[in-house]
Amino acid sequence: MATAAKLFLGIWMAAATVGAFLYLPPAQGFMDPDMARILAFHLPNAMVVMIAAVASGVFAWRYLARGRNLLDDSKSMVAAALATLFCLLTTVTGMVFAHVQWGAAWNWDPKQTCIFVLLLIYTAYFVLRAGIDDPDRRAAVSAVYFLFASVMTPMLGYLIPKYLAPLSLHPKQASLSPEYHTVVWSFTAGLIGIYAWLQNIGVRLERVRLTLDAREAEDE
Amino acid sequence: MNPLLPLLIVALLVWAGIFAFLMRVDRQSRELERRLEATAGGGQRRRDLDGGESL
Repeated sequence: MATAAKLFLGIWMAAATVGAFLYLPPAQGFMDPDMARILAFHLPNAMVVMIAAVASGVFAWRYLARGRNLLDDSKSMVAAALATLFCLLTTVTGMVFAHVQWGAAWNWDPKQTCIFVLLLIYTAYFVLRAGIDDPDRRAAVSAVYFLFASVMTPMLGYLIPKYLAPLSLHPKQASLSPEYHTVVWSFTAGLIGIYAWLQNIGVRLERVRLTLDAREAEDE
Repeated sequence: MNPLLPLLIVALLVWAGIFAFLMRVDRQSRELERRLEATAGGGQRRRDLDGGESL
């Protein structure tokens, strides 16, 4: 990513943050309309989880289908780590929202339960990776597992909570003004940029690690 | 004064910290990669790892 693009991203995110605090009006239909602006941080994080999980699944499929290149496994692992990071951020911002709007940070609401299960699935991926020493076997098993995880992400992040919506505390008919749409999508665009940047850094470091591993193997 | 202003300032400071950290990690990772490629065979290994593709 070019330096100009990074600086643009920095300014873009700062502007979106200013928008979330100063441009957004209080949202109607919430217990605390003024604090509902945390949605501007919560929803974009959830969208980036989907993107990172799908990206990880695509790299996992590429590893399995196209030549078993360990760099594809590394790309999948970095995207999975970022999906986990953004999933944690979604959970934390959701908990702040729940604390303000519903009086308790954790209510075992269907969406909260689903995101908890999703976090468990992502954590299991890293436990699985840590448990296999052989790099090729680890890459193959992890790729198959994350294909499953990437299918589960939209299921647990969107479809199941939508099906269980009548049981949810989440607002069903919240009337968000057009300003919310502008800020949420601006924030989403910025977060996608941050995801791409982090993915780039992570893959670069993984490439260095793989090169050093290959060199070590040659020396032995 | 807008009561949200102190919160906004904290949020902007947090973002500035994250951004500075990302710039630093990005620069350091590029430097690491450059040093590795400068040593014998690094560039060839990188092409091998990429399978002839760029990221």
